[in-house]
Amino acid sequence: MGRTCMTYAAVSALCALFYAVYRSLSFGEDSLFMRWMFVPPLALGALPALFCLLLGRRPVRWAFYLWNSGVALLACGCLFRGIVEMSGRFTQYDRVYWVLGGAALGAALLRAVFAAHRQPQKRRGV
Amino acid sequence: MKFLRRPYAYAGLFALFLAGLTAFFLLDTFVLPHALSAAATATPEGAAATPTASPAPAAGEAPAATAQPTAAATPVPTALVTDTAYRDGSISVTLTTLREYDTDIYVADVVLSDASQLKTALASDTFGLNVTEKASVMAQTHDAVLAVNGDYYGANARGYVIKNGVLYRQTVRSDSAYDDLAVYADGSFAIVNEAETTAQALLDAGVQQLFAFGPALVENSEISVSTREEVGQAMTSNPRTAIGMVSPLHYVFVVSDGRTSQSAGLSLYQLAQVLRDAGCTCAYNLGGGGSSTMVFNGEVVNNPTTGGKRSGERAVSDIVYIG
Repeated sequence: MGRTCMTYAAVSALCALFYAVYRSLSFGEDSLFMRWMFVPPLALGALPALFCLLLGRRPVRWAFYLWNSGVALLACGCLFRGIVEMSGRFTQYDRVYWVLGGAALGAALLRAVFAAHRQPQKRRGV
Repeated sequence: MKFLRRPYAYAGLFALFLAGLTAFFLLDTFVLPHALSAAATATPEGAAATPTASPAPAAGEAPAATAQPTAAATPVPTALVTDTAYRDGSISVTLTTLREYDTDIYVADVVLSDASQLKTALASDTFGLNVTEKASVMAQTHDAVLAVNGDYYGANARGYVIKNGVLYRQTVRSDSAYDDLAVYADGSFAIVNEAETTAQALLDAGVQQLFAFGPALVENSEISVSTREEVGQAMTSNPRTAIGMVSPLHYVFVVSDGRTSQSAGLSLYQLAQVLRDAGCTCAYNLGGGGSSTMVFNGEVVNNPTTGGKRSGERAVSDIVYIG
Protein backbone atom coordinates (compact mmCIF):
# COMPACT_ATOMS: atom_id res chain seq x y z
CA MET A 1 0.00 0.00 0.00
CA GLY A 2 3.04 2.24 0.30
CA ARG A 3 3.23 2.65 -3.47
CA THR A 4 -0.49 3.38 -3.66
CA CYS A 5 -0.13 6.04 -0.99
CA MET A 6 2.77 7.65 -2.83
CA THR A 7 0.91 7.54 -6.15
CA TYR A 8 -2.16 9.21 -4.70
CA ALA A 9 -0.02 11.87 -3.02
CA ALA A 10 1.69 12.57 -6.35
CA VAL A 11 -1.67 12.77 -8.18
CA SER A 12 -2.93 15.15 -5.52
CA ALA A 13 0.10 17.38 -5.97
CA LEU A 14 -0.36 17.28 -9.74
CA CYS A 15 -3.98 18.37 -9.34
CA ALA A 16 -2.91 21.35 -7.25
CA LEU A 17 -0.22 22.25 -9.79
CA PHE A 18 -2.66 21.90 -12.68
CA TYR A 19 -5.08 24.27 -10.96
CA ALA A 20 -2.33 26.82 -10.35
CA VAL A 21 -1.29 26.81 -14.00
CA TYR A 22 -4.86 26.79 -15.35
CA ARG A 23 -5.83 29.63 -13.01
CA SER A 24 -2.89 31.74 -14.12
CA LEU A 25 -4.09 31.46 -17.72
CA SER A 26 -7.78 32.00 -17.05
CA PHE A 27 -7.91 35.83 -17.12
CA GLY A 28 -9.27 36.07 -13.61
CA GLU A 29 -11.84 33.29 -13.75
CA ASP A 30 -11.89 30.79 -10.92
CA SER A 31 -13.67 27.61 -9.93
CA LEU A 32 -13.98 26.11 -6.47
CA PHE A 33 -14.29 22.66 -8.00
CA MET A 34 -10.95 22.91 -9.72
CA ARG A 35 -9.37 24.57 -6.72
CA TRP A 36 -10.34 21.60 -4.52
CA MET A 37 -9.63 18.98 -7.16
CA PHE A 38 -6.64 17.75 -5.14
CA VAL A 39 -8.85 16.73 -2.21
CA PRO A 40 -10.34 13.42 -3.54
CA PRO A 41 -6.98 11.80 -4.28
CA LEU A 42 -5.57 13.09 -1.00
CA ALA A 43 -8.46 12.47 1.40
CA LEU A 44 -9.94 9.40 -0.28
CA GLY A 45 -6.76 8.00 -1.79
CA ALA A 46 -3.52 8.76 0.03
CA LEU A 47 -4.91 8.88 3.58
CA PRO A 48 -6.88 5.58 3.45
CA ALA A 49 -3.87 3.94 1.81
CA LEU A 50 -1.68 5.27 4.62
CA PHE A 51 -4.07 3.86 7.23
CA CYS A 52 -4.05 0.48 5.51
CA LEU A 53 -0.27 0.62 5.47
CA LEU A 54 -0.08 1.43 9.18
CA LEU A 55 -2.63 -1.25 10.07
CA GLY A 56 -0.92 -3.78 7.85
CA ARG A 57 -4.15 -4.55 6.00
CA ARG A 58 -4.66 -4.82 2.26
CA PRO A 59 -8.14 -4.54 0.73
CA VAL A 60 -9.46 -7.31 -1.50
CA ARG A 61 -8.94 -6.86 -5.23
CA TRP A 62 -12.37 -5.59 -6.28
CA ALA A 63 -12.79 -3.32 -3.29
CA PHE A 64 -9.43 -1.80 -4.23
CA TYR A 65 -10.40 -1.45 -7.90
CA LEU A 66 -13.77 0.08 -7.17
CA TRP A 67 -12.39 2.49 -4.60
CA ASN A 68 -9.73 3.71 -7.00
CA SER A 69 -12.40 4.11 -9.69
CA GLY A 70 -14.56 6.18 -7.35
CA VAL A 71 -11.69 8.48 -6.46
CA ALA A 72 -10.80 8.90 -10.15
CA LEU A 73 -14.41 9.72 -11.03
CA LEU A 74 -14.68 12.36 -8.30
CA ALA A 75 -11.37 13.99 -9.24
CA CYS A 76 -12.31 13.93 -12.91
CA GLY A 77 -15.70 15.45 -12.05
CA CYS A 78 -13.95 18.32 -10.28
CA LEU A 79 -11.74 18.84 -13.31
CA PHE A 80 -14.63 18.79 -15.78
CA ARG A 81 -16.85 21.08 -13.70
CA GLY A 82 -13.90 23.42 -13.16
CA ILE A 83 -13.16 23.71 -16.87
CA VAL A 84 -16.80 24.41 -17.66
CA GLU A 85 -17.18 26.95 -14.85
CA MET A 86 -14.02 28.80 -15.77
CA SER A 87 -15.29 29.12 -19.33
CA GLY A 88 -18.37 30.88 -17.98
CA ARG A 89 -20.73 28.08 -18.93
CA PHE A 90 -22.99 25.77 -17.01
CA THR A 91 -23.27 22.01 -17.15
CA GLN A 92 -25.26 19.21 -15.61
CA TYR A 93 -23.01 16.49 -16.96
CA ASP A 94 -20.95 16.68 -13.78
CA ARG A 95 -23.77 14.85 -11.99
CA VAL A 96 -22.70 11.70 -13.83
CA TYR A 97 -19.33 11.86 -12.10
CA TRP A 98 -20.80 12.41 -8.65
CA VAL A 99 -23.34 9.59 -9.01
CA LEU A 100 -20.93 7.08 -10.55
CA GLY A 101 -18.14 8.06 -8.17
CA GLY A 102 -20.36 7.75 -5.13
CA ALA A 103 -21.69 4.43 -6.36
CA ALA A 104 -18.19 3.08 -6.93
CA LEU A 105 -17.06 4.13 -3.45
CA GLY A 106 -20.19 2.61 -1.93
CA ALA A 107 -19.73 -0.63 -3.83
CA ALA A 108 -16.08 -0.77 -2.74
CA LEU A 109 -17.08 -0.39 0.90
CA LEU A 110 -19.73 -3.10 0.55
CA ARG A 111 -17.23 -5.41 -1.09
CA ALA A 112 -14.70 -4.77 1.66
CA VAL A 113 -17.26 -5.38 4.41
CA PHE A 114 -18.46 -8.53 2.69
CA ALA A 115 -14.87 -9.79 2.39
CA ALA A 116 -14.12 -8.98 6.02
CA HIS A 117 -17.27 -10.85 7.06
CA ARG A 118 -16.30 -13.91 5.03
CA GLN A 119 -12.67 -14.18 6.11
CA PRO A 120 -13.36 -15.36 9.69
CA GLN A 121 -15.90 -17.84 8.33
CA LYS A 122 -13.27 -19.18 5.92
CA ARG A 123 -10.80 -19.45 8.75
CA ARG A 124 -13.35 -21.45 10.73
CA GLY A 125 -13.84 -23.63 7.66
CA VAL A 126 -17.49 -22.69 7.15
CA MET B 1 -13.02 -11.62 -15.30
CA LYS B 2 -9.76 -13.49 -15.61
CA PHE B 3 -8.49 -10.81 -17.99
CA LEU B 4 -9.19 -8.11 -15.42
CA ARG B 5 -6.95 -9.86 -12.89
CA ARG B 6 -3.93 -9.14 -15.06
CA PRO B 7 -1.84 -6.22 -13.76
CA TYR B 8 -3.23 -2.86 -14.88
CA ALA B 9 -5.88 -4.43 -17.17
CA TYR B 10 -8.76 -3.00 -15.13
CA ALA B 11 -6.97 0.33 -14.67
CA GLY B 12 -6.35 0.60 -18.40
CA LEU B 13 -9.92 -0.17 -19.32
CA PHE B 14 -11.31 2.19 -16.72
CA ALA B 15 -8.97 4.98 -17.83
CA LEU B 16 -10.21 4.53 -21.40
CA PHE B 17 -13.82 4.69 -20.22
CA LEU B 18 -13.19 7.81 -18.14
CA ALA B 19 -11.28 9.56 -20.92
CA GLY B 20 -14.00 8.74 -23.46
CA LEU B 21 -16.77 9.92 -21.15
CA THR B 22 -15.01 13.20 -20.39
CA ALA B 23 -14.09 13.79 -24.03
CA PHE B 24 -17.72 13.38 -25.05
CA PHE B 25 -18.97 15.70 -22.30
CA LEU B 26 -16.40 18.36 -23.22
CA LEU B 27 -17.19 18.13 -26.92
CA ASP B 28 -20.91 18.32 -26.28
CA THR B 29 -20.51 21.29 -23.95
CA PHE B 30 -18.06 23.31 -26.01
CA VAL B 31 -18.06 22.20 -29.62
CA LEU B 32 -20.96 20.19 -30.96
CA PRO B 33 -23.68 22.52 -32.27
CA HIS B 34 -27.28 21.80 -31.34
CA ALA B 35 -29.57 23.72 -33.65
CA LEU B 36 -33.00 23.96 -32.08
CA SER B 37 -34.89 26.18 -34.52
CA ALA B 38 -34.49 28.74 -37.26
CA ALA B 39 -34.37 32.33 -36.09
CA ALA B 40 -37.40 34.46 -36.76
CA THR B 41 -36.96 37.76 -38.52
CA ALA B 42 -37.39 40.98 -36.59
CA THR B 43 -40.94 41.66 -35.51
CA PRO B 44 -42.82 44.90 -35.79
CA GLU B 45 -42.84 46.96 -32.64
CA GLY B 46 -45.18 45.47 -30.08
CA ALA B 47 -46.30 42.62 -32.28
CA ALA B 48 -44.47 40.12 -30.16
CA ALA B 49 -46.77 40.76 -27.25
CA THR B 50 -49.59 39.03 -29.06
CA PRO B 51 -49.81 35.26 -28.69
CA THR B 52 -49.80 34.67 -32.42
CA ALA B 53 -46.68 36.69 -32.93
CA SER B 54 -44.57 34.69 -30.52
CA PRO B 55 -46.30 31.66 -29.09
CA ALA B 56 -44.67 30.51 -25.88
CA PRO B 57 -43.33 27.00 -26.05
CA ALA B 58 -44.80 24.35 -23.81
CA ALA B 59 -41.41 23.03 -22.81
CA GLY B 60 -38.50 25.11 -21.70
CA GLU B 61 -36.43 24.41 -24.77
CA ALA B 62 -39.10 24.55 -27.43
CA PRO B 63 -38.75 27.37 -29.88
CA ALA B 64 -41.38 30.00 -30.45
CA ALA B 65 -39.95 31.33 -33.64
CA THR B 66 -42.60 32.62 -35.98
CA ALA B 67 -41.64 34.54 -39.05
CA GLN B 68 -42.86 38.09 -39.01
CA PRO B 69 -42.75 40.90 -41.54
CA THR B 70 -39.60 42.91 -41.09
CA ALA B 71 -39.77 46.38 -39.64
CA ALA B 72 -36.54 47.65 -41.12
CA ALA B 73 -36.36 51.34 -41.64
CA THR B 74 -36.76 52.54 -45.18
CA PRO B 75 -33.29 52.97 -46.66
CA VAL B 76 -32.30 56.56 -47.00
CA PRO B 77 -30.11 57.09 -50.04
CA THR B 78 -28.43 60.19 -48.66
CA ALA B 79 -26.65 58.55 -45.74
CA LEU B 80 -23.51 60.29 -44.58
CA VAL B 81 -20.82 57.70 -43.91
CA THR B 82 -17.32 58.41 -42.59
CA ASP B 83 -14.81 56.36 -40.61
CA THR B 84 -16.31 57.62 -37.37
CA ALA B 85 -19.88 58.56 -38.19
CA TYR B 86 -23.04 57.40 -39.88
CA ARG B 87 -26.08 59.61 -40.42
CA ASP B 88 -29.27 59.04 -42.29
CA GLY B 89 -32.79 60.19 -41.72
CA SER B 90 -33.41 57.85 -38.83
CA ILE B 91 -30.06 56.63 -37.50
CA SER B 92 -27.15 58.61 -36.11
CA VAL B 93 -23.97 56.85 -34.96
CA THR B 94 -20.85 58.62 -33.76
CA LEU B 95 -17.80 56.51 -32.98
CA THR B 96 -15.19 57.79 -30.55
CA THR B 97 -11.99 56.11 -29.44
CA LEU B 98 -10.85 56.82 -25.89
CA ARG B 99 -7.58 55.98 -24.21
CA GLU B 100 -8.22 55.36 -20.53
CA TYR B 101 -6.95 52.86 -17.96
CA ASP B 102 -4.09 51.96 -20.33
CA THR B 103 -6.73 50.65 -22.73
CA ASP B 104 -8.26 51.59 -26.07
CA ILE B 105 -12.00 52.01 -25.61
CA TYR B 106 -14.44 52.32 -28.51
CA VAL B 107 -17.59 54.24 -27.72
CA ALA B 108 -20.45 54.45 -30.18
CA ASP B 109 -23.12 57.03 -29.46
CA VAL B 110 -26.34 56.00 -31.17
CA VAL B 111 -29.53 57.99 -31.68
CA LEU B 112 -32.49 56.29 -33.35
CA SER B 113 -35.87 57.46 -34.51
CA ASP B 114 -37.48 54.06 -33.90
CA ALA B 115 -36.73 51.47 -31.22
CA SER B 116 -37.16 48.67 -33.74
CA GLN B 117 -33.83 49.73 -35.26
CA LEU B 118 -32.10 48.23 -32.22
CA LYS B 119 -32.02 44.56 -33.17
CA THR B 120 -30.32 41.30 -32.44
CA ALA B 121 -29.25 38.52 -34.79
CA LEU B 122 -28.44 34.89 -34.13
CA ALA B 123 -25.47 33.09 -35.63
CA SER B 124 -26.39 31.39 -38.89
CA ASP B 125 -29.94 32.66 -38.24
CA THR B 126 -30.35 29.61 -36.03
CA PHE B 127 -31.31 29.31 -32.40
CA GLY B 128 -29.29 26.62 -30.66
CA LEU B 129 -26.36 25.69 -28.48
CA ASN B 130 -22.80 26.14 -29.71
CA VAL B 131 -24.07 27.63 -32.98
CA THR B 132 -21.59 30.40 -33.69
CA GLU B 133 -20.56 32.84 -36.37
CA LYS B 134 -18.24 35.83 -36.46
CA ALA B 135 -19.87 39.11 -35.50
CA SER B 136 -18.56 40.77 -38.67
CA VAL B 137 -20.23 38.09 -40.81
CA MET B 138 -23.53 38.46 -38.99
CA ALA B 139 -23.29 42.25 -39.28
CA GLN B 140 -22.75 41.97 -43.01
CA THR B 141 -25.60 39.49 -43.43
CA HIS B 142 -28.01 41.85 -41.68
CA ASP B 143 -26.68 45.10 -43.20
CA ALA B 144 -25.81 46.40 -39.77
CA VAL B 145 -24.53 49.94 -39.44
CA LEU B 146 -23.12 49.13 -36.00
CA ALA B 147 -22.87 45.76 -34.28
CA VAL B 148 -21.36 44.35 -31.10
CA ASN B 149 -21.31 40.83 -29.73
CA GLY B 150 -24.34 39.91 -27.64
CA ASP B 151 -24.83 37.82 -24.53
CA TYR B 152 -23.53 34.52 -25.97
CA TYR B 153 -26.78 32.80 -25.08
CA GLY B 154 -25.65 29.64 -26.93
CA ALA B 155 -23.03 28.81 -24.33
CA ASN B 156 -25.66 27.75 -21.84
CA ALA B 157 -28.64 25.45 -22.01
CA ARG B 158 -30.66 27.49 -19.54
CA GLY B 159 -31.77 31.10 -19.26
CA TYR B 160 -34.50 33.16 -20.89
CA VAL B 161 -33.87 34.02 -24.51
CA ILE B 162 -35.96 36.76 -26.13
CA LYS B 163 -34.62 38.17 -29.37
CA ASN B 164 -36.46 40.59 -31.64
CA GLY B 165 -39.67 40.00 -29.74
CA VAL B 166 -39.53 36.22 -30.09
CA LEU B 167 -39.36 33.93 -27.10
CA TYR B 168 -36.94 31.09 -27.73
CA ARG B 169 -36.29 29.73 -24.25
CA GLN B 170 -38.04 30.11 -20.91
CA THR B 171 -35.98 28.14 -18.42
CA VAL B 172 -34.47 30.26 -15.64
CA ARG B 173 -30.72 30.74 -15.96
CA SER B 174 -28.57 28.66 -13.66
CA ASP B 175 -26.77 31.72 -12.28
CA SER B 176 -29.98 33.61 -11.56
CA ALA B 177 -28.19 35.80 -9.02
CA TYR B 178 -27.20 37.82 -12.09
CA ASP B 179 -29.76 40.21 -13.51
CA ASP B 180 -30.85 40.47 -17.14
CA LEU B 181 -31.28 43.53 -19.31
CA ALA B 182 -34.70 43.97 -20.89
CA VAL B 183 -35.22 46.28 -23.86
CA TYR B 184 -38.84 47.29 -24.28
CA ALA B 185 -40.76 48.18 -27.42
CA ASP B 186 -40.45 51.90 -26.66
CA GLY B 187 -36.67 51.58 -26.51
CA SER B 188 -36.37 51.84 -22.74
CA PHE B 189 -34.06 49.61 -20.70
CA ALA B 190 -34.80 47.85 -17.42
CA ILE B 191 -32.84 45.46 -15.23
CA VAL B 192 -34.85 42.35 -14.41
CA ASN B 193 -34.18 39.11 -12.56
CA GLU B 194 -35.27 35.82 -14.06
CA ALA B 195 -36.05 34.32 -10.67
CA GLU B 196 -38.62 37.04 -10.05
CA THR B 197 -40.58 36.87 -13.30
CA THR B 198 -41.36 34.60 -16.19
CA ALA B 199 -40.22 34.87 -19.76
CA GLN B 200 -43.83 35.02 -20.91
CA ALA B 201 -44.56 37.89 -18.50
CA LEU B 202 -41.61 39.80 -19.91
CA LEU B 203 -42.82 39.18 -23.42
CA ASP B 204 -46.35 40.26 -22.50
CA ALA B 205 -44.90 43.42 -20.99
CA GLY B 206 -43.42 44.29 -24.37
CA VAL B 207 -39.83 43.15 -24.02
CA GLN B 208 -38.22 42.98 -27.45
CA GLN B 209 -34.69 41.99 -26.44
CA LEU B 210 -33.45 40.26 -23.32
CA PHE B 211 -29.76 39.97 -22.53
CA ALA B 212 -28.70 37.39 -19.98
CA PHE B 213 -25.07 38.01 -19.17
CA GLY B 214 -24.34 40.74 -16.68
CA PRO B 215 -23.92 42.13 -14.24
CA ALA B 216 -25.81 45.41 -14.50
CA LEU B 217 -23.23 48.20 -14.55
CA VAL B 218 -25.32 51.34 -14.12
CA GLU B 219 -28.80 51.66 -12.66
CA ASN B 220 -30.58 54.99 -12.13
CA SER B 221 -27.40 56.74 -13.27
CA GLU B 222 -25.45 55.15 -10.42
CA ILE B 223 -22.71 52.54 -10.82
CA SER B 224 -24.09 49.24 -9.53
CA VAL B 225 -20.89 47.18 -9.37
CA SER B 226 -18.33 47.79 -6.67
CA THR B 227 -14.56 47.83 -6.95
CA ARG B 228 -14.40 45.03 -4.38
CA GLU B 229 -17.08 42.88 -5.89
CA GLU B 230 -15.90 39.48 -7.10
CA VAL B 231 -18.12 38.63 -10.02
CA GLY B 232 -16.35 36.20 -12.27
CA GLN B 233 -13.80 38.29 -14.10
CA ALA B 234 -14.96 41.53 -12.47
CA MET B 235 -11.74 42.18 -10.64
CA THR B 236 -9.41 41.67 -13.54
CA SER B 237 -8.72 43.63 -16.67
CA ASN B 238 -10.21 42.12 -19.80
CA PRO B 239 -11.70 43.05 -23.14
CA ARG B 240 -15.28 44.16 -22.47
CA THR B 241 -18.53 44.84 -24.28
CA ALA B 242 -21.41 46.79 -22.80
CA ILE B 243 -24.58 48.55 -23.86
CA GLY B 244 -26.15 51.51 -22.13
CA MET B 245 -29.13 53.80 -22.46
CA VAL B 246 -28.89 57.56 -22.08
CA SER B 247 -32.62 57.88 -22.75
CA PRO B 248 -35.05 55.81 -24.82
CA LEU B 249 -33.75 55.83 -28.44
CA HIS B 250 -30.37 57.21 -27.32
CA TYR B 251 -27.83 54.47 -26.61
CA VAL B 252 -24.14 53.96 -25.99
CA PHE B 253 -22.24 50.86 -27.14
CA VAL B 254 -18.82 50.33 -25.56
CA VAL B 255 -16.14 47.82 -26.51
CA SER B 256 -12.67 47.82 -24.97
CA ASP B 257 -9.51 46.12 -26.08
CA GLY B 258 -7.52 44.02 -23.62
CA ARG B 259 -5.09 41.16 -23.14
CA THR B 260 -2.60 42.81 -25.48
CA SER B 261 0.61 44.76 -24.98
CA GLN B 262 -1.21 47.88 -26.20
CA SER B 263 -4.29 47.52 -23.99
CA ALA B 264 -4.60 46.05 -20.51
CA GLY B 265 -8.38 45.84 -20.56
CA LEU B 266 -11.00 47.06 -18.11
CA SER B 267 -12.44 45.83 -14.87
CA LEU B 268 -16.22 45.91 -14.63
CA TYR B 269 -16.05 48.96 -12.41
CA GLN B 270 -13.90 50.82 -14.92
CA LEU B 271 -16.31 49.82 -17.67
CA ALA B 272 -19.20 51.12 -15.58
CA GLN B 273 -17.38 54.41 -15.10
CA VAL B 274 -16.99 54.82 -18.86
CA LEU B 275 -20.71 54.25 -19.38
CA ARG B 276 -21.76 56.53 -16.57
CA ASP B 277 -19.45 59.24 -17.85
CA ALA B 278 -21.10 58.82 -21.26
CA GLY B 279 -24.39 59.78 -19.62
CA CYS B 280 -25.99 56.36 -19.32
CA THR B 281 -28.82 55.98 -16.86
CA CYS B 282 -28.85 52.21 -17.32
CA ALA B 283 -26.03 50.00 -18.62
CA TYR B 284 -25.31 46.31 -18.80
CA ASN B 285 -22.27 44.11 -19.35
CA LEU B 286 -22.41 41.77 -22.36
CA GLY B 287 -20.09 38.94 -23.32
CA GLY B 288 -16.43 39.95 -23.03
CA GLY B 289 -12.98 38.48 -23.35
CA GLY B 290 -12.27 37.04 -26.77
CA SER B 291 -15.88 37.66 -27.78
CA SER B 292 -15.63 41.45 -27.57
CA THR B 293 -16.10 42.81 -31.07
CA MET B 294 -17.42 46.04 -32.53
CA VAL B 295 -18.25 46.29 -36.22
CA PHE B 296 -18.94 49.70 -37.75
CA ASN B 297 -19.85 50.16 -41.40
CA GLY B 298 -18.69 46.63 -42.14
CA GLU B 299 -15.27 46.96 -40.48
CA VAL B 300 -14.11 45.52 -37.17
CA VAL B 301 -12.92 48.58 -35.27
CA ASN B 302 -11.46 47.02 -32.13
CA ASN B 303 -8.69 44.46 -31.75
CA PRO B 304 -10.40 41.21 -30.75
CA THR B 305 -8.37 38.49 -29.09
CA THR B 306 -9.27 34.88 -29.25
CA GLY B 307 -7.74 31.74 -27.79
CA GLY B 308 -5.97 33.79 -25.17
CA LYS B 309 -3.85 36.67 -26.41
CA ARG B 310 -3.84 35.77 -30.08
CA SER B 311 -5.31 38.45 -32.29
CA GLY B 312 -8.41 37.46 -34.23
CA GLU B 313 -12.17 37.54 -34.19
CA ARG B 314 -13.96 34.81 -32.26
CA ALA B 315 -17.24 33.35 -33.47
CA VAL B 316 -20.13 34.17 -31.13
CA SER B 317 -23.76 33.16 -30.70
CA ASP B 318 -25.39 36.50 -31.38
CA ILE B 319 -24.95 40.21 -32.00
CA VAL B 320 -26.74 43.40 -31.05
CA TYR B 321 -26.92 45.72 -34.01
CA ILE B 322 -28.31 48.90 -35.42
CA GLY B 323 -29.85 48.67 -38.84
